[in-house]
Amino acid sequence: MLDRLTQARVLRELPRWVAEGWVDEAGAAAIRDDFARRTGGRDLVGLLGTLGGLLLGLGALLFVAAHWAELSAAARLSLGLGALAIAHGAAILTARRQAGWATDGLLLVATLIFGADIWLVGQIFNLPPQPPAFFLLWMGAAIATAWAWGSQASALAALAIAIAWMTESWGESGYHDLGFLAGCVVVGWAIARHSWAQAGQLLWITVIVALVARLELIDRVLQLDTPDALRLAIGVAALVAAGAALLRRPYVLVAPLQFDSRVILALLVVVAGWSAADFEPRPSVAMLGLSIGLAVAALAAGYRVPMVLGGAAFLLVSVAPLPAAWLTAVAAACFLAVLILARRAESRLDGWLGGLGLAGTLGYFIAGELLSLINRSALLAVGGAALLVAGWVATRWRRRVPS
Amino acid sequence: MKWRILLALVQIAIVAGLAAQAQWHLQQGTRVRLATEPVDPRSLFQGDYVRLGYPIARTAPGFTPQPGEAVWLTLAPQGDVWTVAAVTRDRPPAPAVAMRATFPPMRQDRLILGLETMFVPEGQGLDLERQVPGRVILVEAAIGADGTARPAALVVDGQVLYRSGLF
Repeated sequence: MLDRLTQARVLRELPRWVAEGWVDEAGAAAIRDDFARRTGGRDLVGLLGTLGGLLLGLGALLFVAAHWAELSAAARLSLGLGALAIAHGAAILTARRQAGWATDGLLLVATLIFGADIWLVGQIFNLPPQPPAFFLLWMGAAIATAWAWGSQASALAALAIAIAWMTESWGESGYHDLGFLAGCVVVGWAIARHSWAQAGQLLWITVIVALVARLELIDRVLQLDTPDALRLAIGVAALVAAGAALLRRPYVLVAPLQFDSRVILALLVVVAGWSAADFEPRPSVAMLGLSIGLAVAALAAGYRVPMVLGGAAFLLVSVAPLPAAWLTAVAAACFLAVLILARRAESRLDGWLGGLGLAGTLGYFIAGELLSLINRSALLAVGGAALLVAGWVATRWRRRVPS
Repeated sequence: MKWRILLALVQIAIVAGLAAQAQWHLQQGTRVRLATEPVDPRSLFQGDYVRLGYPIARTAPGFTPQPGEAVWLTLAPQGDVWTVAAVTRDRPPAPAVAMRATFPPMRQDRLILGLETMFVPEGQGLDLERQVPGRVILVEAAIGADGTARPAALVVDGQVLYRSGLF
């Protein structure tokens, strides 16, 4: 499949090709339809599957994190190992049925359960918290899964783990730096081999973060006092210039500006979710940032009316000091409004999926208000499962209703 | 498909191997009890834990280490509690009970023993941290053949409150 930039160039050139008589009108229309179909539903269904897997996996991660007073350590470890085996087994089964999005989601779940399991071992045996070797092991498992299965979701997870690893231990020793770089090279190789556009974009982000972290280290060693914004600007500029020089392709210079907004959206949701877990009381900065991010991402992604209105409502809910019952009612109203408005969206499928994605996110955060009554991990698991089901329904629906 | 099944088995084996190695360390290690003081809780990945400080981590007087340098602490019992008898760069000869400790990269005033965290049931970390006059908190450490120490149990006023390991 052609990447978005190449597609845009082809679409710009199409009228001239038709005028020159190289392509007839029917062919041009078929190309436009094909591009619209590929960039519309499939990516979104993939994203929903990925997000669902991510939430489900996070649920598993936090479930393991919670101390199960009533279970023995051996039982906990057995459960963790069993969950890992089940996730891999389910991925193998869905692969045989050629349900690609489900397989990718399940592989992501398996990758996250692997991480949960090694941290569970750390907990049971009181190993030092978050040791770098665990991150290395986890990233290695994610890379192996991405490689063996051609799983973009696992490649994305590997990069996310790399970012987490960097923030924990970047610059502590050459061993850590080399491990990180080796991981990025292997993931980059897999990305190039499979032409994974979204993972490629996340790799860009990872390398930028790494570069900025490295600049911070240089700052610390040389005892400079460079402002963060300047450091970031230097890092990004250096990276873009180096990338352009390396590839000798001028459009690389603007490539960072062409990020698929859905990647940013997914990152925002995940990062804000993690942050919000530690913020008390609401409204928190993370919530506010997520709401604004959602609205911006919605605009950029072309969901327009439903997502922007949904984002605005979400913002309102986030900052409103309402009791949980009211918040739940507002969330339900938002969900209905989004679904109704989605019917008027330019692409019905995008509208529905955008609405479902927003509602899932919204529901998760609103339900977070009830955490004193409901286990957070169960919520994440239910939210993830709901998104996976939404992806499945949308896939079946899409077969009947063209976008 | 064979490779994919193998990948799943390897991942399961890695987790099981980590657990087996840690359990072996606990079973075979020499047990010593060390005085400790809870400092700070919470791990996002693993839940509540108490962060533990040790008086013996500050007992390397006159030592001018390289960043990250490892040293050997020779331990000797004083009643119920073991304390540091000597700090050396080389491993003391048997039968001395000795554990390895390292200086952190940026500091020279304390040692990392590998015993700094103990995971506790959700919500109990803060209770342990509260300073209760007269309460004695000890950590029972298992020192492996390579000198690595791992927490085996948390002992409060003579009672074992939490244990590491599967059994």
